[in-house]
Amino acid sequence: MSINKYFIFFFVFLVSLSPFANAADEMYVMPLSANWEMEGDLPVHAFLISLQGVANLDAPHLYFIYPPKWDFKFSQPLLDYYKNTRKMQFRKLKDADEALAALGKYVKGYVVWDKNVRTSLIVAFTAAGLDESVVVSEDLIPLVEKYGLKMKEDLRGKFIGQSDYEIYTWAYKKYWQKCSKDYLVYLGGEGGKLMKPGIADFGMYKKAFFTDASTNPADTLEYRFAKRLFREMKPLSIVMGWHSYRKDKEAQQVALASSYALRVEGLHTLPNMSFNTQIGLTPGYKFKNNHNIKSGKKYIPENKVYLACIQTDCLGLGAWTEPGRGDIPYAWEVTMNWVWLAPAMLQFFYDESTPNDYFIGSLSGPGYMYPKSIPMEYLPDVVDKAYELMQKLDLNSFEIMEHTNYWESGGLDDDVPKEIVDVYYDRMPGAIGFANGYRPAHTFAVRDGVPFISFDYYLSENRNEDEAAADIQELANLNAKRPYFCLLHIREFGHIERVKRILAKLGPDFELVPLDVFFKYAGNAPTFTTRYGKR
Amino acid sequence: MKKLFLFMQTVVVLSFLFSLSCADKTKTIYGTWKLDSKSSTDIVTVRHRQLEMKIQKKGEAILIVHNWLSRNKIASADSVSFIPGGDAVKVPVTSQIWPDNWYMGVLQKSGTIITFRGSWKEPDRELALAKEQTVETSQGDTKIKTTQSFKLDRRGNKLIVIEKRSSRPTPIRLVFDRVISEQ
Repeated sequence: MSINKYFIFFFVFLVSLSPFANAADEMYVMPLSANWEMEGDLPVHAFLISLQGVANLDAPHLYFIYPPKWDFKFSQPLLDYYKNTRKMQFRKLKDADEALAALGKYVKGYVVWDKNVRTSLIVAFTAAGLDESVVVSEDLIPLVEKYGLKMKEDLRGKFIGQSDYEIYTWAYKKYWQKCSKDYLVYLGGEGGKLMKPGIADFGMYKKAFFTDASTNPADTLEYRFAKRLFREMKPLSIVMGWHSYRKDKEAQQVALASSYALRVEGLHTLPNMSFNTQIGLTPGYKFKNNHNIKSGKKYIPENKVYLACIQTDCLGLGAWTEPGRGDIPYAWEVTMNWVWLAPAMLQFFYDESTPNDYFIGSLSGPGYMYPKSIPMEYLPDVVDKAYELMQKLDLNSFEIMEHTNYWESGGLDDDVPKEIVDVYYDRMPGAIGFANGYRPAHTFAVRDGVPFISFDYYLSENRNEDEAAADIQELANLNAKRPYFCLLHIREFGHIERVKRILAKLGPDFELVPLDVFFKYAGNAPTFTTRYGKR
Repeated sequence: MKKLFLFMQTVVVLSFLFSLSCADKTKTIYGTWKLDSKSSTDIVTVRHRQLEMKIQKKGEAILIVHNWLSRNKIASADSVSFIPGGDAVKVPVTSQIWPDNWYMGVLQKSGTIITFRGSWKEPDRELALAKEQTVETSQGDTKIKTTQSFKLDRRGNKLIVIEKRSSRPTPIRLVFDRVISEQ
């Protein structure tokens, strides 16, 4: 072997050890349009996303840039991050034909869905994932046959006149046995003529069963079906995607999933996960939060109103990519499972964070769960798992959300019973504080200087700014003792510039502090009344 | 130029006199009223419910019913009946939901009472209502005193309610449209 060959061999060996080892030699990027209608671009988008799910099976080959109004705003910034930090190079694809020409070699066939039966597309994703095929509507058959692909399944005409329950029962009988019991995909969200199956590539990548079966007990058949799926999944497995806006409520789905100790990981629009899941951390990388607590310093509050802001509803939705981030102290809910589902994607957020961006663990468990719904025999394990993720991510604050009976209780079910609060305190010994609620809640406690504080205000993205400021001032008047600790839930679509304008109206008695400082102050001088929810 | 100015002045004065002549003194605050959200202060109702208000005269007493509508059905209701200028009326609290603002960490306190006292500023057309209640916040129980002034517009088809809460720095202005089918 010549010296040159040694050199090349050594170089290849080095590259194989690098963080780019999982990066494929051929990578493609393609923008997707903003049209997701059945009679518009959805058939092509569905085809492309299924192609992504198959083409990325052995290595990350295909990445999409989602349109600006997509729920998750980071597909372009994350692509730039990959290019800059992982030295990835992408060739741009312009249409479905070009995509298939480049990546068709990974595809084993195609599954035809029926444009007259929307649910047939959801079933097609299940079939295509198992067969490593793409999903096509009838009009796309000539395209895939041009590249020599053979039909694996034809769903045209099969489900005419059938209910979703009947369709899913058929799919269950045919595919469930072969599907993953670690991942289930809820391809819900928008209904009718619209579908936004951003997560479908990942579902196919994991050979998951796809559904949007209703979790509303009033829909007796679909509800029973959903329960059956949940019951047959492994405990602590993942329900990716989102419930159907037309069939049931978020609280119903999450409560039902939690009752089987399953964790929900939203949304149905989460993009490029079959790609992102394969991109690792840079060598030696450790997640480092932007802590504000100085060791040895005593945190004694003054007689004023202390505010802290938490932006909820997952990283990357809404404000993260908008102007103003970093200008004021802000706490961000971390979607903790991304540490193993999409490590580099989570590293992107940590790397992009400013000293004012403080990360917190969420939401109730290692994923989105409702603690009252989780069977008590599972709760300690669930909290342990969440705490394990917090430690990996350098998080010392945790957020809980409880909506188990939300839709039956007139909107007053955000509170956590004492025996559940006990579990969080016991199993998360390093936590410096707990936040609770979504809308304002009323569970408050302090133990050994560690507060459990509920949101006192829900800042809607639609609230008039003057009225929002008056709301916070009114809360400060109603809670007359000082210090008063007012925890603000900022909806993900409420941008930081707007929050800054509202806070600027409040006056000198109000002080916005980082959440960890807020917790320390509240733990040292609590003025709230201890209160727990009911079972 | 002077002639044009005089003409314009005359038009303005005549318009003003015409609008005064339109004031309908036969209209009263009784009837069914629907909140005009666009013209009102942004209030935060539970799950975006719409507010419909009925004001009725029952002998000497006035009955005010708030119907909180969800998809045109009554999701919840609260009511008070009182004699203007009469004794205070006590209404027991049955729901913890504080209907005034869903975004704030404030609960009504079950088992307490809300005290109402009303008086006419102009019989059948302009009403003052005072309300006192105990609410629960993160720091415990506290009292809120609220005054509401109900006033008809000149034509009698809009009802303006100005609400001032002891705890709130700014007043709340609610504009209601008369539901015509009720007349």
